[in-house]
Amino acid sequence: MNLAVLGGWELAISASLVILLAILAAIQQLRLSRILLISASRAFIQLILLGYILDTVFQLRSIIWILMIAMAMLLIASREVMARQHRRLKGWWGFGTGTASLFISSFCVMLITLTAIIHVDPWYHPQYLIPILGMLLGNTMNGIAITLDRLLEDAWNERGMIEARLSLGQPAGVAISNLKQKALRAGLIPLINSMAVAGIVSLPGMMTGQILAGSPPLEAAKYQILIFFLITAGTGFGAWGAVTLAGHRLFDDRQRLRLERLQQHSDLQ
Amino acid sequence: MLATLLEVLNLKSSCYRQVSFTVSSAEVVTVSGASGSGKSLLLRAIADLDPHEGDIRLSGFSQREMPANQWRRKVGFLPAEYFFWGDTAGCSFPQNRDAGEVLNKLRLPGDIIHKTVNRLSSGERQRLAIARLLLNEPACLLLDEPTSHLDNDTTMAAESLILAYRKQHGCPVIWVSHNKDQQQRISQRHYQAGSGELIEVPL
Repeated sequence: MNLAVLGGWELAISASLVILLAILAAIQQLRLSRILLISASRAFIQLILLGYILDTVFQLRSIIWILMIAMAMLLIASREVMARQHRRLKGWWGFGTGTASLFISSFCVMLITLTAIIHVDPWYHPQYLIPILGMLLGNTMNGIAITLDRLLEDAWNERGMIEARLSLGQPAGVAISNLKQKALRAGLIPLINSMAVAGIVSLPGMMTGQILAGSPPLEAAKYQILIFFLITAGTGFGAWGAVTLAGHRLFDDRQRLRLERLQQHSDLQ
Repeated sequence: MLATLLEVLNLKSSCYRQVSFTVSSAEVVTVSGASGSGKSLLLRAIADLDPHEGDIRLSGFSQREMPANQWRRKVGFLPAEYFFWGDTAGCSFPQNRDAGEVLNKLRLPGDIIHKTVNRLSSGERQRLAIARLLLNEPACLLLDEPTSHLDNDTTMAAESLILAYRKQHGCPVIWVSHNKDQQQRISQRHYQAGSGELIEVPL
């Protein structure tokens, strides 16, 4: 099977569709065009650069360099998690909650994958480590961002209910338990839905890519299953870590709801 | 009869410069004052919902020495707005307690706890919140305008239920009320809140 090579013209056609969408959004005054175009341009530039960089990176054999690249990816993903929240925790907690949740989930799942599942030697082989980490971070980042955004927004809106529960003597953890559940559901539902219809309604992105690039479908399917499970575990543990940390920070040592620890952020315009 | 003493010692918060007072067992103290004068904030500080300085004691036990949730259960704060959770009113009630008698005294039908809260009137919700608070068996009552949405008859019913509870449990009661008649009916002492202070005024 041959790989259909993409040139500038082919990419331009697909880009024109996004531009058309942005024009439509502008006419409808949806206030989405700017961020849509910025995000699309970012994806284009970042991925092209990545293509060039990975060529070099895959030649690397130094664990220090590879881990530094991995850390950089983590920090950028954390910043994205923070930027996508309408309300976020002030100070280091805002950045730290996302970073810690991404770290415990993505890095742990990545390590298990490399050492116990794919058996790469050495375990930090960049051709495996970088794509797997990227795939994990990209997905857990979405899940964690949705979960945190939902939790903090609901905590803000449901202040009266939370304090009513505290006033009746419920511990802080119980008083926001239903908000945590809702936030976790919101963060995980897109993934659960995409797993449920995988292969029936949709052909997942990675499998599509592998098949287009010439892999046998069954091999592509196995890799896709692996990635689905890893992403689910990563997103689930990451979102769980995020609600635990943020839920902790929303209250002080006397279990008072401290909404002044949140700040509003409106980049989504 | 049980007896509980509420002591507020040198309370300082965003709204109060320095406030001290004591409410003895089964005593009812009413508080009034303009909007924004800090009546609700006083109750919130006693319930430990807002940061504050100074000490608040219940029967000699300091707020700081008691786990926060245990403290709040004991001080029984009823905010001016009511919130319920779960599908029906009963979901937010203390479980394993029979609500029937209390609801009856508040002139509410016993099956109201199976109804969806947002279909109920504000008066019904207010009485449900009172019932929920009393069923939680607090040792003290902090009531922020507990009868503001009630008509005369149900106000009387709510007052007599709360006052009977106070007597039976030896509860100190702080009751925010703007109604002069009500203040005279229920309280032994009256405080006026404003400009960072609480001033005792004759009824």
